[in-house]
Amino acid sequence: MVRTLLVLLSLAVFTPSFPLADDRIHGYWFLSGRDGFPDFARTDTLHALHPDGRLAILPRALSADAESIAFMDVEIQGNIAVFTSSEVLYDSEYYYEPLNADLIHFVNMKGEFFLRRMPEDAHLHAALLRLALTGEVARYQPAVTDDFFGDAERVVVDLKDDNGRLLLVHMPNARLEGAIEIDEAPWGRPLGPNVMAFWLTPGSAPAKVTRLLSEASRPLLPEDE
Amino acid sequence: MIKVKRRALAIALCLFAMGVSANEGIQGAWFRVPDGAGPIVENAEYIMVMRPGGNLVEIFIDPSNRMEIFTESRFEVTGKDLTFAFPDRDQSHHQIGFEGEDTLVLSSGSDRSMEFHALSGKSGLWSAAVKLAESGEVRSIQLLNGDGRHILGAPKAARVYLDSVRGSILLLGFEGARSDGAVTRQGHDWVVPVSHDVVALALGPESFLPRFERLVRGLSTR
Repeated sequence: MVRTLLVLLSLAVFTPSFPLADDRIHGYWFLSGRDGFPDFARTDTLHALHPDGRLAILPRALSADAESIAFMDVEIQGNIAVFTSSEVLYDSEYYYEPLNADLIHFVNMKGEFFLRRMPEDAHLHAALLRLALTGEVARYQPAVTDDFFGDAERVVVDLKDDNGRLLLVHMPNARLEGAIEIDEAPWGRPLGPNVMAFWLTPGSAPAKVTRLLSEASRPLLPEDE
Repeated sequence: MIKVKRRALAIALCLFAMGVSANEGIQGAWFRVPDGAGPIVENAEYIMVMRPGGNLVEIFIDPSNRMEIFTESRFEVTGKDLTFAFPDRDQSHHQIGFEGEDTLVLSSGSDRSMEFHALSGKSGLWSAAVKLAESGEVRSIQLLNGDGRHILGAPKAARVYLDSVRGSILLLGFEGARSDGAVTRQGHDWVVPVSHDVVALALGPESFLPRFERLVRGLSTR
C-alpha cells in the first residue's frame, strides 16, 4: 500500500510537464486569414509549435537572416497563449481558439491573426523549421553551388557563431534512410524521408552538429513517426 | 574498314589468350607523369591498369583534369617481353624492367624508356576512380577540386560519367578520415562509403540506383 503510494508520488513528480498543453495547436502552421488567404504559396511567415513549448518563426521565402528568424517559448494558460522570448524584450499574450483542426484564431487588444496548418508535402520548410527550433540557425539561402541534384530545391543553412554550414536537398517522393558519419560525426543524414542534410564543414563543431541533426530528424509530432 | 579492324582485334584476342599471367608483378595500376613532374598521382597524365585477364584499361588525363577511359586494348607478357595490342593502332613491344617495386620501366629498342609508378591502394579518390573505370562502364571522369573548393564538405571530388546519360556518380574523398554508415533511397544504396575515406553518391533518377548499387558494391570485391 505504502509502496504503491510512493510509486504514484514519484510518477507525479517525474511526469514531464508540457508547457504547450493543448495538442490541437502543435505542429507546422503558416500565417493566413479566416477566409484561407493568403494561401501557403503566398504567405510570408511559417510557424512550428513544438509540444515542449518551443516556437520557431521563419519567412516562407527560402532565404532569411537572423533578424527574420524568431525563436521563442509559448505557454498555455487556459485559453491564453503567452509568447516569451529571450531575444525580444516583451511578452505577448493572445486569446486563442482552434476554429477547426487546421485553423487557429489568435486575438488580443492590439489585433488578431490566424494560423493555418502547413501542407503535408512542404517537407523542406518543415525541415528548416525543425532546424530553427534548435535555436542554432543564423541564416539560410538558396544554394547556388554544388548543383548535383538536378532540379531539386537546395538550401544552405549557416549556424550561429560560425559553427558551420549545412546543405538541405529536397527530393520529392524519395524515401531516404540511414546516415553517414565522417570521423564519428554526422556528415550526411536525412531530415525526414525526402530532405537530405549534408554537413558542409566536417571537423567543425562535431558535438553541436550531432545534436542538431538528431533533433531536426525527429518528427515534431508523435503521430508523424 | 571497321570490319577489318574488328577481325584484326579478334585475331589479336586469340593470340593473347595464352601466356597472359607470365608476370604477375606487372598487374595493377600504373601511372605516368610528364617529364620533370613529381611522381605523385595528382600529376598523372596517363594511367594504365593491367588486369589479370590481359585487359588493359587506359586512362588519359588532360590539363583540365578530365579522364578519358579506354578499355579495348590488351596486353601480353612473355618473360620480360610486353606487347600491347590496340584496336586502332599498331602493336607495340617493350622490355619490362623494375626499379624497386613501385617503378616500372618499359624500354623498346632505340626509343627512350618510359617510367610508370604504381598507384597505391591508399590513393583514396584516385584508387576508387580507377577501380570504377575498370568496370568498363565508365566513359569519363572529371576531377572537380581544381579551384580548391570543397564539394559537399569533401576536399577531393570527382564526377564519374557512365556510358549512358541516365545517371552519374559523385566520388567524395575525405583524405585520411574514416567514413561509416550508408544512406539508402527507395531501399537502394544512394550515399555509401567505397573505401575508408571515399564516399560515392548516386546522381540521377530512382531508375539509376540499381546500377549504381551494383557498380559501387563491385568496388569492394573487385
